[in-house]
Amino acid sequence: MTTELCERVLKTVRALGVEEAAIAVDAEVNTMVRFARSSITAAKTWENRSVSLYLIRDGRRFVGSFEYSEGEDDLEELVGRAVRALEFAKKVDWVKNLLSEVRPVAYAPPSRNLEELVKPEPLVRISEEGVGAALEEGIAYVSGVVRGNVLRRSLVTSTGFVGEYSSGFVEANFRSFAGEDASGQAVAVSADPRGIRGADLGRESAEYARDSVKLVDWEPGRCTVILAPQVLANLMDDVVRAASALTVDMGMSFLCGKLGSGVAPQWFGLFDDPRAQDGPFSRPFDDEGVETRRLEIIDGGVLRNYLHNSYTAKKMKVTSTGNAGWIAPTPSNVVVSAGDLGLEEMIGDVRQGFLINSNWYTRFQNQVTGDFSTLARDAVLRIEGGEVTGAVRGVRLSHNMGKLLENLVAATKDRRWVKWWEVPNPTLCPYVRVDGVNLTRAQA
Amino acid sequence: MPIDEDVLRAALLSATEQGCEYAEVRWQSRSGTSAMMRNGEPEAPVMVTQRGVCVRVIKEGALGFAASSASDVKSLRRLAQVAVRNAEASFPMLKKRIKLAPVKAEVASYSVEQRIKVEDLGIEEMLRTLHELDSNLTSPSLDAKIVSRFLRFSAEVEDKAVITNEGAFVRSRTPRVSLMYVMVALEPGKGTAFRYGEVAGSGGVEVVVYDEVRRRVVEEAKAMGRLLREGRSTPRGKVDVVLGSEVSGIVSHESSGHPAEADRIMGREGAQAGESYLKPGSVGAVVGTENVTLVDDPTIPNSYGFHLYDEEGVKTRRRTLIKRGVINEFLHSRETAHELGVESNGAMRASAYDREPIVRMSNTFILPGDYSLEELLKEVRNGVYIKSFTEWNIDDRRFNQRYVGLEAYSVENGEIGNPVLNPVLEITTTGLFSRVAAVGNDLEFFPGNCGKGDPMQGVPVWMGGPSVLIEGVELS
Repeated sequence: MTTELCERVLKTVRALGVEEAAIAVDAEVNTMVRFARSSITAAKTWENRSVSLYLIRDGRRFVGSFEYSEGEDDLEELVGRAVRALEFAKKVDWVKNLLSEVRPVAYAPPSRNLEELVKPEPLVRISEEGVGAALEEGIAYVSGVVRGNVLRRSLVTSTGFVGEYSSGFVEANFRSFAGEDASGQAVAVSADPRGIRGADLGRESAEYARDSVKLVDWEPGRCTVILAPQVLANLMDDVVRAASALTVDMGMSFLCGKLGSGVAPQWFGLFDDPRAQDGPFSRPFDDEGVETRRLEIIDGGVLRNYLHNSYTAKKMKVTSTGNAGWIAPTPSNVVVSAGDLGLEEMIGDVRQGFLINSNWYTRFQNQVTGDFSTLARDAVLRIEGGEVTGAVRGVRLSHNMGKLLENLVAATKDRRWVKWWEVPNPTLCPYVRVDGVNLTRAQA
Repeated sequence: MPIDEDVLRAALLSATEQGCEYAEVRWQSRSGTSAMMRNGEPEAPVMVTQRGVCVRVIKEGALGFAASSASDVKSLRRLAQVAVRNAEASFPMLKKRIKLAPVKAEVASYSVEQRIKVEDLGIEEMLRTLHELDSNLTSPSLDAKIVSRFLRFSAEVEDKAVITNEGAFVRSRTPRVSLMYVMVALEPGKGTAFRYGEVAGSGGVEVVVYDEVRRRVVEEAKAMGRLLREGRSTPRGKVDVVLGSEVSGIVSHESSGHPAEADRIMGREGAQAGESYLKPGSVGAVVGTENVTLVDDPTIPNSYGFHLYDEEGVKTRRRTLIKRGVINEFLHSRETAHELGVESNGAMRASAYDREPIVRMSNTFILPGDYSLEELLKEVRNGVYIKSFTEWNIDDRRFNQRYVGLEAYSVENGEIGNPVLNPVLEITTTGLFSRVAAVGNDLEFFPGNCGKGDPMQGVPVWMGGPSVLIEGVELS
């Protein structure tokens, strides 16, 4: 049905003189259970059905999106408005044959039943298990969220591409509080709901919260930090954005001009893996119908590729990497390479430093230089002589993203998929050790 | 395309028939166009229409919510069932039953007036404006090299209808306009400076006065060039600092507005935006000097956060969050008002039809005092004037914050001196408010899209204030 709607819209825009077009119809359902202080505060479902259009004619491009459901009688009017708007876009001489230069690959949708992901009852059960396990650890209360998502996408293009796919995931975020400002977090996301074990997450968040009760002194300055997967995932979100060809083309990236250069130690790799079997955002084709593939962004410590759609690729005289986004190239599943250490071993190697459980509010002072800061959140554990000796508060990482990549020292062999409020794209991350990170704190 | 009232009432009836003590149905449509230009090259214009209906119910103290882009009667009856099912599914983990403070059932309808309708603002005209602005930034006479530029001109109309089973029925129409700019200045051998700015309001196209925007952007570009050429390092030791309107605005928003959101105070945002350093008993607590009176006011005409009724149909009003340095009131929903034994002050907003309303700010600012900017600067023997900022952040209890100045100058014996590079103010909330020695009379507002909620909701706000004098802080 959604593919038929795509084809109907494509026929309409072609009849109105549009030379190239990609039409997508998305049907998405989300159900979310939110809880705070160990009690559910809201259970929510939202269902969105939208038509999106990418139109090209005579060097002009236009992107439109509107919500539309069967039975509504203004489809032709909305499509017509989009085509009229295309007239007023500005012409760019080299913009032609964008979509015809990509090689589309048709794809049949999997037969997987995804309906279970968006029923409220199983999501409540995961919440209950997590909160119950956390409270058994003796903490004060737990707040969090468990969300299920199902997306069905159809895409047709003027080159004859017809594709459909379905995807889905469950994500969970548990934050345990053990007293005034003593908290711990555990998060997970999985394409398979059996991959979300509420009790394990609840227990882990409670252990972090409990460990952050006993406060010790600390001094700002440069030191070694171990970043938990959710911290690294948050920072990699900014690295991937900086590796988008659009950001680079605008001259607003600290990765401008670094293609082919070493930006991290040799063991470090950063990838987009749209075909990952367990990837929550896996997709067989991008928004232009280009077959997706694993993209080495950083491999062997070298910046190998920017993320491209057909527009940025043509402008930079390369081929699309299958990361369209009609305007901005986008990743699917971000993956960081694994190391060879256990977490205990990594902690044991640190003479003086901190383990940071989570973070939020990453902001750049200057995206060209990569100067930024972010606030440590939840447990920040002091490590002395290879052992955790207490917790500290009020830590801010005030550093530079390029230097942070250069100063990566080691990663754990275990990784986990992270996606939560501060990490919009699912990211598979290990714990990493970074040396020489500048930590600051507020004056009273 | 406004929705039929009977359709909303059918959904409401369906919810109440299933035993809900409270039901609310909202239709919301946002339709907008953005034209963009990067480094002089036009980007594809974007036209987005979001429209649909949501049903929010409370059944036996559990809150269920369901939203859909389908808005026919049959779909909405089903939607009411989904909302009720969600509420019922919560029962096994419902330790606190939700109750709402009583309010007057308002029936009202309003539209923000437009002199030049945003519906008539074409993409062509938007692009012409951006092109003109861009050419100002590449002019050889600019005295600054702006190597990267991203400009966006946006216009939208938001229509809403909210109806409750208690008799409230509020309809509204709010057009909005925004002109946003990002620019990077380069001075060879010296480095780069990065600027993000925006001018925006609700109303017709006239709320963004282009000549004023151009003047401001050009002045800022020139200042960035001078900063890179002549900027010196930040003075060490204790200094006095004058924060310009843009900086006092972000301080008002982050350090006073957010911690005063009663849902955070009651823990509801604990896993996402966080809780608050303020507690339910903090009304009456001293957090600053007598010079600090700080309000949140959604009723300012043409403001970006303008609205007269909230998403629960409650009439809004100016909220005085800090009065002469003392916490005076919080921002409330009906739920938090019931918990704390007060009346709702109408702070529930939702960014779209598929988002539940949560407690939000509107236009948050320090009330102006008597000093001109020149008089404030005269008070400074040794310090820094921070006119605008770049990086900023604050912890999730809203207590530990950092603002990095962009356009900043040294001040010696009351006189503005050389530009200062990246002065960093890293300070606690009470540390900052308790050092406010004087407040200017130069009230000015700056727009923003405030993010909160899960799923994320960005709502338009103004942040503002006059210039303020902060005594005895250390910059880094």
